[in-house]
Amino acid sequence: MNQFAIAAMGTDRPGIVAAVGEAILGVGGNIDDSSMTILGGHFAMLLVVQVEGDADQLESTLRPVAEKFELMLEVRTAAMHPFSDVDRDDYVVAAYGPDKPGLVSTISRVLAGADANINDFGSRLGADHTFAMWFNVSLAEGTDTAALGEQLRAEGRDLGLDIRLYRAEVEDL
Amino acid sequence: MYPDARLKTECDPVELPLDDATRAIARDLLDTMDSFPGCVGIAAPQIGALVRIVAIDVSGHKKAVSDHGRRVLVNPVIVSRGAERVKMREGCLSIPDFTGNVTRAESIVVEAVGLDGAPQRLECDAYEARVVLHELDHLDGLLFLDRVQHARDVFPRKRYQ
Repeated sequence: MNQFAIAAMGTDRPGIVAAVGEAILGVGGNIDDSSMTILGGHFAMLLVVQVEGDADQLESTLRPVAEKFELMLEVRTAAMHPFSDVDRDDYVVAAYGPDKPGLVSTISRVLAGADANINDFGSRLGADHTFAMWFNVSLAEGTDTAALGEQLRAEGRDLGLDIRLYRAEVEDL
Repeated sequence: MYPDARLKTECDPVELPLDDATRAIARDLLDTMDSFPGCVGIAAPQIGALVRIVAIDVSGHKKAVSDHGRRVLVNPVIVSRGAERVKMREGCLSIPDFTGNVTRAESIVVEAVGLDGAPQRLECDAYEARVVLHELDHLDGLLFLDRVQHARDVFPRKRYQ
C-alpha cells in the first residue's frame, strides 16, 4: 500500500464527502486521517489515504467525483506516517480581540521568528466582531516560553489583542 | 463586556475586615446575578470592580450535584482539585460572541471569606465546581477563551441567551 494526500476544494453542497469516500473505498483504499471545513461557503478537505497504485491512478479514480461536484482536486504521494498528529501540539497560542487586518500575520510572524511550527490553526469571528484564534504549535527545542509569551503579548497589545501562550493539557487517565 | 480591559486585569485581594464599600460591591454582584435569568455566577470585574469577589448560585440547577446555594466568596482560593477532569461547553455574560469547550477539574475545595466576614470552606463538584472555577478565572483576568485548546472547541453564537 502507498500513502497519498488528497486535497479537494469547491462550493459546498451535500454529498461531497460521501462521493469521495465511496470512490476511495471502491479501489480498496483506507482513510488514515482527515480534515474538512467550510469557510465562506467553500468546502475544503484534506485526506491522507492508503491505497494500492500510484498518484495518477488515484487521481483518475477521483476525477469523476471532482467533475460532478466541480471540485479542485490535487493528489500527492505522502510520506508514510501511521498517524500524523502524534505528540506534536505541545503549546497553544490563544489570541482574541476586535477584528481588524493584520492579527494572524502578526502572531504567525512572531511564531515563525521563534522557529515554532504551526501544526493547526483556526479562528472564529463572533457576531460582535470579536476575532478569536488558536494556534497549536510545536516550539523549537530550548525555546524560552516566558520570553516568547511576553513577545507575543507585546506585539498583540498594539493591535488590541489579548494573547496567551500555554502548554496544551494532556490528561493521562 | 469584552473587550473592556477590566476583564483582562488581575484583581486585588479585598482588605479585611470587610468594609461598607466591599459589601456594596457584593450586593451589586448579587443584584446583577438576579437580573439575568438563569445566571449561576458572576465575578466582580464583570461589573467593573477589580477586587477578588464572586457570587455563585447553582440552586436547583439540573446539572448541580453539590449545591451550596447563594454565596458570596471574598478572596476565594482553590485549595485542592480532584484528579478527574471533565470537558464542558461554557458561555459567559461578558463574552457573548462565543461558547467553548473547556476542560476543568470535576471537584474542588475552595476557601473564602463570606459576606458575614466568617471563613468558609466549600467542597464543590460537577456543575458548581465548574461555576466556581470559571468565576475565579475572572479574578485573574482569564476568560474561558484562555482555557480553550483548539479553534474547533469554540462556537460562535448570535447572542447571549
